[in-house]
Amino acid sequence: MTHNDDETEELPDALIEALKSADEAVPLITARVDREVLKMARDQFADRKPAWRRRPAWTAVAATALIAIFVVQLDEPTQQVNLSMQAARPADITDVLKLARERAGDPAAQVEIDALAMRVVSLSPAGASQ
Amino acid sequence: MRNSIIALVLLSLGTFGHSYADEANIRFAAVDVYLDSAEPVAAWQFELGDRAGVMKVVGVEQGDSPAYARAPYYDREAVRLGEADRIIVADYSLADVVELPSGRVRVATVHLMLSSDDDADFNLFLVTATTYDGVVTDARISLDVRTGSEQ
Repeated sequence: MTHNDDETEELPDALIEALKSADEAVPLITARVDREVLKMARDQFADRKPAWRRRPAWTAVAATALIAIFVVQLDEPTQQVNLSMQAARPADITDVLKLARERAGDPAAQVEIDALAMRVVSLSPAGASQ
Repeated sequence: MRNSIIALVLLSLGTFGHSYADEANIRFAAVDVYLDSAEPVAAWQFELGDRAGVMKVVGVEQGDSPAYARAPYYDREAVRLGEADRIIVADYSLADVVELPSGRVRVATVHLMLSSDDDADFNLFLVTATTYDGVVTDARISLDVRTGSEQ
């Protein structure tokens, strides 16, 4: 008898009884039962698509969203370039005409119109026509 | 003392001779600029330069169309300072379409000082010409030079 056996014998009776009642026989699953359970499970979930086949719907949504974001990001710099190109385009007398028509009837606008026109015809490097 | 007086006299003669020679080479010319458009023109802009580098713009005069009665826009400060070896001239009109000029019309006259006996090699191009609707029209631009007694 070992030292551990001595300690086991010293366990309280209530605990020993509880352990004995918990020590039930292990249910025996035979190969036949295992196959039957497997067959029932397969029949039950026969109509259900596997996970890898259910995923494409969400994958498509996510891919579409990513592509949309990518396209928007691609498009934004183009718009910025277009805007900068428009801004870089030298003003000409057509812009002055447009401004004059927009501000027709406003006597205070003539100063602004003349200023734009003078920028159009300026010979200095800062002039719009350069 | 006598040598100094002679030197001063020669220097004065040399300076006078140099100025006289410079002035002798200066000529004036007027360049009439014509716009030819099938459609009435509500705004126009041209640039005139000189590849020979002998011209200075001394003034710009309006053209013949009543729709453009005032002097056109140009860089008056550069002209005043004698720095306009090229010129950009432009004008617009808010007149009704029936009053706008079409066909061949003189839109401006550019007055020039030519600082050499060599002829100027004018470079005239139309920047834009716009119809009443604000659309760029396919117009042609040309010039006619008047010099000396022709003016």
